[in-house]
Amino acid sequence: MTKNHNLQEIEMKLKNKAYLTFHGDGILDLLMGWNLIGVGLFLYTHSIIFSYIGLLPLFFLKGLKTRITLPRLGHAQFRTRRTPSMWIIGSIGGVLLLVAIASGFILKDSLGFVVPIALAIFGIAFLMVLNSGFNRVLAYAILIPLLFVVGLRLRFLSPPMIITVGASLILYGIWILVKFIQDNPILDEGIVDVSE
Amino acid sequence: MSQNNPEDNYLQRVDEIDRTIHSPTRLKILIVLSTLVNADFTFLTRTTGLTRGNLSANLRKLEEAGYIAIEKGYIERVPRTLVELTNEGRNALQTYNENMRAVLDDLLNQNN
Repeated sequence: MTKNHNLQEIEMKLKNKAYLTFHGDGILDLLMGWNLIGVGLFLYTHSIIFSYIGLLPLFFLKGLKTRITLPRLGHAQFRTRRTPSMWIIGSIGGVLLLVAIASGFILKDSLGFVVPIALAIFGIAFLMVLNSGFNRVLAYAILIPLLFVVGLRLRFLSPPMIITVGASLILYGIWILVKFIQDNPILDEGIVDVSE
Repeated sequence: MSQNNPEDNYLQRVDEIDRTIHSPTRLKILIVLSTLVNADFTFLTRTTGLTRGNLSANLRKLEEAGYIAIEKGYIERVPRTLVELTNEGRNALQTYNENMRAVLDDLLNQNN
């Protein structure tokens, strides 16, 4: 029992380290910044095209991870796959998103659409933090509702400010990405022949 | 020397310790692999902190002993060298664990 417990602990530590390194490449920050710029431009111009542009990087996420992150960190398949808590997070996240989208259609105005989306993002991000300990997500979970719900509703935050925050996040993401690439050079994959 | 002499049993257990696993480097590799279904060469290099040459040499020894299986595969269309612990390797690691525990228990009992 002790042996299994220790192996589970080792696996958890390896998994957490791999997870944190995998998401410590700055790509999440870049995407978050891009998304905020899209939302800011959407609120500024009321042109729906900008909200789609804001979501565009989501389609590149897998490709970026495959080309930048995976070759540098390598691949590992853990023995325990998706944990029950991840299923709970996925389910709650899905319900939150559905509520957000549904209420957006009911409320109709752009602000009414943004508020429930922001709450949904906060809910998902907060649950992710509880599950993974990836603290930067918590910062975004606080930042997004602060920007959208408090800032816009109380009118002390303007779309240009959201765009500025988005641009800052992109710069921060680029800085993290450069550091990640420097710290994790691509290694030659494969066994080398060391026999004399 | 009698078979029933506790000291003989103790020495016999020391002899039973698997030298392939007993190396700290190979033990480290096996512990990491025992928590995984498989891992590629890059992940193992990063996790164990070993150099390519050192990791390669020790993987070869473990493969020769039948404790790990190495095969070429593709992850997201990228060629990777995948390493996994075999059943033989898992059993050997468990036996090693039991033998080491027994030796250390004997040692502690003798000192008390």
